Amino acid sequence: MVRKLLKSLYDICSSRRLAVGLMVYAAFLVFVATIAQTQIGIEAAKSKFFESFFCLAEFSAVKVPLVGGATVGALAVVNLLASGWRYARGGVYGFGMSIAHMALVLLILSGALQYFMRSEGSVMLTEGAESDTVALRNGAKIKIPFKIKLVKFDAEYWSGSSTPKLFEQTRIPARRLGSPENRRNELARLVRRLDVLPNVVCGQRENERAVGGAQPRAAAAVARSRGDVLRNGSDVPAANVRGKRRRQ
Amino acid sequence: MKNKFAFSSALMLALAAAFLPACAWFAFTADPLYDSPFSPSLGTLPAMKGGRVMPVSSAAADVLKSLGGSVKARTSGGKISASKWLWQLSADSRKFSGEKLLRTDNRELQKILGANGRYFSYDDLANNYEKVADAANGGDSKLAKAAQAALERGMEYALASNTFAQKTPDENSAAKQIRDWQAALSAASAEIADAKKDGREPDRKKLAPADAIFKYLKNADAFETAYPDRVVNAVKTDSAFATPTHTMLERGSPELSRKHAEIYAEICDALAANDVPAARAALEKARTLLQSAGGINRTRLFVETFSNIFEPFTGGFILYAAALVFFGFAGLIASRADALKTMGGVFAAGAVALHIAGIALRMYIQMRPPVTNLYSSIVFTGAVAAAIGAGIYFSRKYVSAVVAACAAGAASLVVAMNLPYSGDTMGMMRAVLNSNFWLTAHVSTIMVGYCGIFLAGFIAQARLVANLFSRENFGAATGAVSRTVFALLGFALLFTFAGTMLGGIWADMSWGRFWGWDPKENGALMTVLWTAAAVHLKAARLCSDRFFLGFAVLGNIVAAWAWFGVNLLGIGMHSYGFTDGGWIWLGAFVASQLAVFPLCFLKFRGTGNAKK
Repeated sequence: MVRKLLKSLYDICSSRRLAVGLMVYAAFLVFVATIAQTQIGIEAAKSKFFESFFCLAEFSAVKVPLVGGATVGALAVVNLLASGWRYARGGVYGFGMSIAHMALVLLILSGALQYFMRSEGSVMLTEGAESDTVALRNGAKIKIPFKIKLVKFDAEYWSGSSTPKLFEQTRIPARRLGSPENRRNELARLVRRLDVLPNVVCGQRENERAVGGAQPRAAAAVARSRGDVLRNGSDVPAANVRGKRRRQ
Repeated sequence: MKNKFAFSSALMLALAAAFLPACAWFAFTADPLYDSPFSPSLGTLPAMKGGRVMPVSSAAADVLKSLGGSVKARTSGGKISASKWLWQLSADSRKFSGEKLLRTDNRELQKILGANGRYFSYDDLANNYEKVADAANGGDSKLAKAAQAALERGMEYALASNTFAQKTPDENSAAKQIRDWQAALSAASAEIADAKKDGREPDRKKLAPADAIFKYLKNADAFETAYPDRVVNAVKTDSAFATPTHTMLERGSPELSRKHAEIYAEICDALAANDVPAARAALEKARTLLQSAGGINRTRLFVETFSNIFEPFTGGFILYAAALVFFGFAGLIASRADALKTMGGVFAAGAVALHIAGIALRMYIQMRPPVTNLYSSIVFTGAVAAAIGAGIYFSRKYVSAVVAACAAGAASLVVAMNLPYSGDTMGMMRAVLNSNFWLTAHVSTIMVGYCGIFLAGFIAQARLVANLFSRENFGAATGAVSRTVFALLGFALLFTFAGTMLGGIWADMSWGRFWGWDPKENGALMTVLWTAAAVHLKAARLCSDRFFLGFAVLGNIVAAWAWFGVNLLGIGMHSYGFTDGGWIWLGAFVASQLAVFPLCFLKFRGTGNAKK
C-alpha cells in the first residue's frame, strides 16, 4: 500500500504534465505580479508574489488566492529532479538535456539561497561624501561596518548633446585590515577604473575578531553606482550595495 | 525552369518597385542644389545633431520630424525636401513662418492656436503666445502638456532658423552681419585700449554697436546651450561642430570655423537672393574647406544620403505587400497558381533582401549592432522572421510560412514607420547602453528569440485559419506545420533563454543585481516559460497538433506583452518607447490572437483519415 502510494507520488512528481502546468502557471503568476507592481510597487509585489508560498491577488474588489513563487520554485525543483531521474538518457543528447535541466535546479536553488543570505540596497553619495548607511530596497536602513567614499564622479557627454557617453568613477577597495584606522587609511587608496559601466566597488573580507566582536560581520559588499540617477541633472549617483545579510 | 517568363517579369517588376521611393523622390521633391546623391549638394554637407555627425538632409529631417512628424515640409508651394526647407529657413527666417508645419494632437490647443486641423504655423504660436503660455502653466493637465510641447516646438523652430547663419532682426545679409560684428568688435577693443592708455573711461557711444550685437548673440547662444539635443551644429571646428552663433561669439574660434561660418553666410545670402550660381560657387568653397580640414567620414555621409533617398524600408514594404497579393491570387486562381507563386516568391525574396539591406545600411551609418531602440527592434525582428519564413518556403514549399513571413515583415515596417515622433533618429547611445558587445549579446539575441515566437505564432495562425476553409482532411497538413512550429519554438527557446541570462549578467554589471523582477525582466521570463511549456507539450506529446498550434498562437500575446506591453506600464528601468495610444493597438492585437485561438478546437468532420 505504502509502496503503491510512493509510486504514485513519484509518478506525479516526475510527470511532464506537472512540468508544463508549473511553467504555464508561473507565467500567469509573473503576469499577475507585473500588473500588481504598477499598484503596490516592484519591491512589495516581489515579496508578496515571488517570495511567498501563498498569496492573495487583489484586483480592486476581486480577491483571488494564489500559490506563491516559493511553492512554484520548490515544486519545480522536485519535478526537475524526479523527472531527471525518471527520463535521463545516455549519449550526447541525453547528457545535454540533463545538464540543461540540472542547471535550472541550480538557478532556482541559488535564487533561494540569495533570498536567505543576501540583502540589497543603495547608498546615495555626492562627490566627496562618504556614508556607512545603506537603504535596503524594502526601505529599511542598515549600517555597514565601513564607509564608502565617492572620491570622483565624471560624466562624459557625446559632443554637442546632452546624452551621457561614459560615467567614470574612482573606486575605493577596502582590504582585510587590523584596525578601523588602518582600514580608513587603506580606503583612501585610489584606484581608477575606466569602464563603460559606472562602478564603485568596495570589497571587504574580515572576521568578527578583527572588528572587535561588537561589530556585526560583513563578509563582502559591492557597491555600484547607478548611472540613471544622473539623467535628472543631479550630481548624486546612487550606489547599490550587496552583501551578506547581517546576523545580530 | 518552368515559369521562366513569370520569373523574369517578376524580377523586373520587383526591381522597379524597389526603386519606386527613389524615383518618386527624383520626380517630385528633388532639387539638385539641395539634395543629390551623385553631385555636390547642400544636403550632403556634414552637420552634427544629438552628438552624431550626419548629412544636413538627415539633421533637417530630424528637426522636421520632431516639429510635425513628417520628413518633408508641406508648404503652400508644394512639398519640399527637409534640407531645402532648413537652408531656406536659415536664409530667410520669415519665409516659412506662416506655413503650418508644427503639429499638436490636442483639440483644445488647436482651437487656441486657430490651427488648420492638427497643424499650426510659427506665426500662429507667436500671435497666441500669451494664451499658450498660460495654458502651459496649467499644471498636469493634457492641455498644459500639449501647450508645453507646442512651445518647445516653437523654440525648436526658432533654433532651426539660425542653423547656418545668425542675424539680428534688422539685418538682412548674414555675411554683412559677420563683417559688422567684426568691425564693431575691433572698434570697441581699440576704444578700450585707447581709454586704458589715456587713463579715461571708454566712450560708451563707440562701444554701443558691439554691445548691441553681443547682447543679441549672447542671448541666442544661451538659448542654444540650454537645448543641446535640438540644435543642428553646422560649423566645423577643429575637433567637432558648433553653431554659427557660438562661432561668432567665441573669442578664440579657430580659423577654420570662422571661414566656414562666412561661407555658410554667403550661401544663405545667395539663397535669399535666389542666386543659384552664387550658392553653387559658395558650396564648392565649403566642400574644399571641409576636405582640407579632414576628420569627416565622407563615405558614411554618402551612404546615409543614399539611404535617405532610396528608403529601403518603404521599398521593402511595397514588395512584401505585392508578394502577399500574388500568393493571395495563387490561392484563388488555381490554373495560374504556379506562375503566381513563382512571382510571389521573387517578390518575397526581394523584400527580405531589401529589408536586410536597410538594416545593414543603418548598422554601417550608426556603427552599432542592429537593435538599439524600439524602432530598430521592430524592424530587425520583422527582417529575421521574414528571412526564416522565406527560407522555409523555398526549402519546403509551405505557402503558410511565406505568407506569415511577408505579413510579419510588412507589419513590422508599418509599425516602425508609425511610431510617433521617436522614429528612426539613430541617436547616440547613453552611457549604460553604450556597449556594442552587450547590445549584440543581450538585445539582439532576445530579439531573434521573439522573432522565432512570432513567426511560429503566425505560421500556426495561418494553418488554423486555412483549416477553417479546408475542404480536405487537414490532419496531415496540421501535423507537418506543427513540426515546423515546434522547431521554430525550440530555436526561440534557445535564444530567449540565452538572451535573458545574458541580460541578467549585463544588469549585474551595470545595476548591481542579476535579477530584480523589473517588468521587462518579468516579460522575458514569461516568454521563456511559455515557449518552454509549448516545447514540452509537443515533445512529450501531451496534446493534439491542433491544440499545440493554438498554444503557439497564444505565445504571440505573451511575446507582444513582453516586448511592448510592459513598456506601457511606465514603471521600472526599461520603460522606453511609446505610451500614447499603445494600449489600443496592443488590445487589438491580443483580441485578434484570441479570436484565432478557438480554431484549434475545429475538427475535420468530412470523410477521410484525419491524423488527429
